[in-house]
Amino acid sequence: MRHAHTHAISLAAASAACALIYLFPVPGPRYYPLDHLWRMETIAGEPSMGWYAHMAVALFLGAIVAAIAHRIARRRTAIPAKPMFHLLAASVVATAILAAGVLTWREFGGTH
Amino acid sequence: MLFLEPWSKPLLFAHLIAAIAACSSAVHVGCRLYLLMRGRPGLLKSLQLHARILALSYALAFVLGALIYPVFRIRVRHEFLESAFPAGVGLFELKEHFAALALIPAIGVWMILRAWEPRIVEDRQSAPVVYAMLAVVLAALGYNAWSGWYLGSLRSI
Repeated sequence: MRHAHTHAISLAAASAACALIYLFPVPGPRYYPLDHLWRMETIAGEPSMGWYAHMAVALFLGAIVAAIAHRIARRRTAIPAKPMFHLLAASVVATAILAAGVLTWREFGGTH
Repeated sequence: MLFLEPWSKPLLFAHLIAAIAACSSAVHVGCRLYLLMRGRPGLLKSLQLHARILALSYALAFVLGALIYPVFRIRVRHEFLESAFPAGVGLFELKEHFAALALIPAIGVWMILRAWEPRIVEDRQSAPVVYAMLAVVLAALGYNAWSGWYLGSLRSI
């Protein structure tokens, strides 16, 4: 399989995985900008930022998925059929829409 | 004094410039990809160049945004938005989330197109994935440009 195809498969898998992982709460350190400190616990009433850890974990796990998918795709010699790429494209868009919808609902319509 | 607070305005300006570059290069990639897939193979080199600019400018805007986030978190969100305009908190949180979600697609567009070779037509079978990733990037950039401008017009760092 050519690089153009292995890259498309692995990066589509990574993109979809990252969007799905992003929806789950991730245990990680929070940054407290007023104290210039990272803490694992959440202190009520004090501004803190959990986005860094959340984003880093989602991107890291997405990169692992990409590496695994790339390894599997590289072993195959035949070029996948066109519908395979359409399916991958649909999964990229669908997971992004799902993640955007859930995140919007959490921010404006529901609870965290 | 917050992390990088004395540098926050120049960093915000650089974030803006990188974001403008990302928006314009994403549109260029979309137009060139559309034309290339309709029989203009000579556009591949410029398509790859704009995809590289997109990946680099998006990554730069992402990193710069992450660096100035603590200043925004306190000076804008904590001191202004949470009391005066609570809906603005959600608007900004979504901006951060969407930026993270579109990072892999932004780099992915470049990595896939970089592997395309002019004479190998089979490479272009992966075009639907590029279109999909570009759509995600354009949607995130569109929302982030709008919300960034709107929130900045209320109060900036």
